Amino acid sequence: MSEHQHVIEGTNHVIPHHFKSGYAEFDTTKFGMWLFLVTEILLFGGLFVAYGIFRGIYPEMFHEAHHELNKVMGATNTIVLLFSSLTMALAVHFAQTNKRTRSLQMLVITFLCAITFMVIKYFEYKHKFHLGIYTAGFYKFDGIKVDHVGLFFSLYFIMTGLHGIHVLIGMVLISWVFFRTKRGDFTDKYYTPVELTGLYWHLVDLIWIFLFPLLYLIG
Amino acid sequence: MTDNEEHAHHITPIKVYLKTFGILIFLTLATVITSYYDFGTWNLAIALLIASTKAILVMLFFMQLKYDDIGNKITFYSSFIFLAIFFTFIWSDVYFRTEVQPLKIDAVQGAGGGETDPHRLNVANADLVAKGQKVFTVQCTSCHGVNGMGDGAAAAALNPKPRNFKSGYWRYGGTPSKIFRTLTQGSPGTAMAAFTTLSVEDRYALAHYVRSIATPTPPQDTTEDINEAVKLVGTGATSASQEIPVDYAIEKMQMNDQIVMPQEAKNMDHPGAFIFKNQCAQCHGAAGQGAQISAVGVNPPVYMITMPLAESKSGAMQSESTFMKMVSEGIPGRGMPGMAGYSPQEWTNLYNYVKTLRK
Repeated sequence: MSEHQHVIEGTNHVIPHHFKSGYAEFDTTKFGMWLFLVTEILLFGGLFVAYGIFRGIYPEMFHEAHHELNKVMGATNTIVLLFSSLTMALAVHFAQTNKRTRSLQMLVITFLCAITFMVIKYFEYKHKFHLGIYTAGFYKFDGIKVDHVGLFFSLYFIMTGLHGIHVLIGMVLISWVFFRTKRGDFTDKYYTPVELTGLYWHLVDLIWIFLFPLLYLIG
Repeated sequence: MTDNEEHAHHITPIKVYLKTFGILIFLTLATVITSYYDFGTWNLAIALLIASTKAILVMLFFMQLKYDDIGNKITFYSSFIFLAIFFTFIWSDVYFRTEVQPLKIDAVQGAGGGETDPHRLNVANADLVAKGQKVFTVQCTSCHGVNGMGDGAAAAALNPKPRNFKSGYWRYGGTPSKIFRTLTQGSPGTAMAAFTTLSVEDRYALAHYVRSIATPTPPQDTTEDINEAVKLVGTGATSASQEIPVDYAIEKMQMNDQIVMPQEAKNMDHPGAFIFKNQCAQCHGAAGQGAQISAVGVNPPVYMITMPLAESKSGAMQSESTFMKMVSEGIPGRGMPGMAGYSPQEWTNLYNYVKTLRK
């Protein structure tokens, strides 16, 4: 190793030469993550705008259609996701305070919550498909007697589906930081990946916080 | 490292996380419970208020934005400002846009005004042609050229090129009523606009002048043709901007697929069938029977009606070389894209396959 390479103490993380310090690297990386999260908000934002417009045009249809969604499953998933956000935040906290075992435990709980979320989602989707509830164009269910009802379920499947994909990506990221934590890559001096995964996971939670009432509760 | 370190690495005490979580759970239960009661229009407001409170708690404490750098705060909060702008503009557009009715049938419009009266459309005479020429000079020469040969100054920039009236070819037909139709409704997909700003008489005169370029000694107008033209009065777009109302577009977008393709593919073992299936069948139908395709996403909105290849009298099928030329170049402005990159053998196969589709 040349004398110009700086390794953060207690880790094998090399600070890239274009950063003058570990702090500068952390700051820049985190800013990049926030920028990415902005694009995520705008990505889902388009769908929320579509929801708002169509709900304004067909309020009765939204009202009738939302009764088809299972409030209890939705609420359970909300609590599961909020709890996983807590454990993720704690995982970051324990990484910051050098409590590796605790951090690993929290990551495992977060991961299990994500699985629980996806399993509940699976049963919800399975039930809908069983009834013939698909997106508009493929919609076959005749239990809801209002026009344009396929539109609601198009929004439902696209919004929760895209969110579900984010949960799956989050699970990959959580496993990744789990194995890196286990390997001893992180200390209180360097834990950027854990913190950024945390930010991503909270964003997934943030979006669900809006999806849940808009789709399941008030339609 | 630097003295900024403390500020960058804020460590939130566990107690704060637990409190935040407690409030989040409380708010979740609150929103579920309120959903069982009907507050009318307040339902949405209450749900959004609770959801926003939860979101703010997650942002401030779980995402630690409260302790983050001002740059990160501004960056993330700005996304909500942009979202608000996005929503406000779309919402106001949907709810406050002035109604624009497509193809609105009403009385005679333009300079003349008044009721629709067939007698106002005079049988062709020299005066009418002379009047048409005056209108032509002002309105049409920039594209169609002084002599109507499609060589006006603006023609260089246009694709497809403006019609050369001396060629004698008419896409929409060459009788006065047909030319009147093109003048009234424009030619979607080309630069030819709907000239509804001209009075009915002016358009009718123009139709006669344009026809006189192609046919120096035209036949007398028939009563049927004049009646056809009268039927078209008022059918053009009411403004040159070719707008469509948002609710009309939304209705169209929600309709099921309008592609009409009842027939099964034929002769699938023919060597040209594969190219046809992949490149042509989507618009021309599995058996080349033609289809009506709603293309509301384009402006102006049109129903593209593809040629039923099976009964095609099109010149494209005259010979393989004509076929290859037309299909490889496409038909600009008519929705037919050009295709390239096939070997001579593949062209032959495709030509022969299309031939098998004809009756």
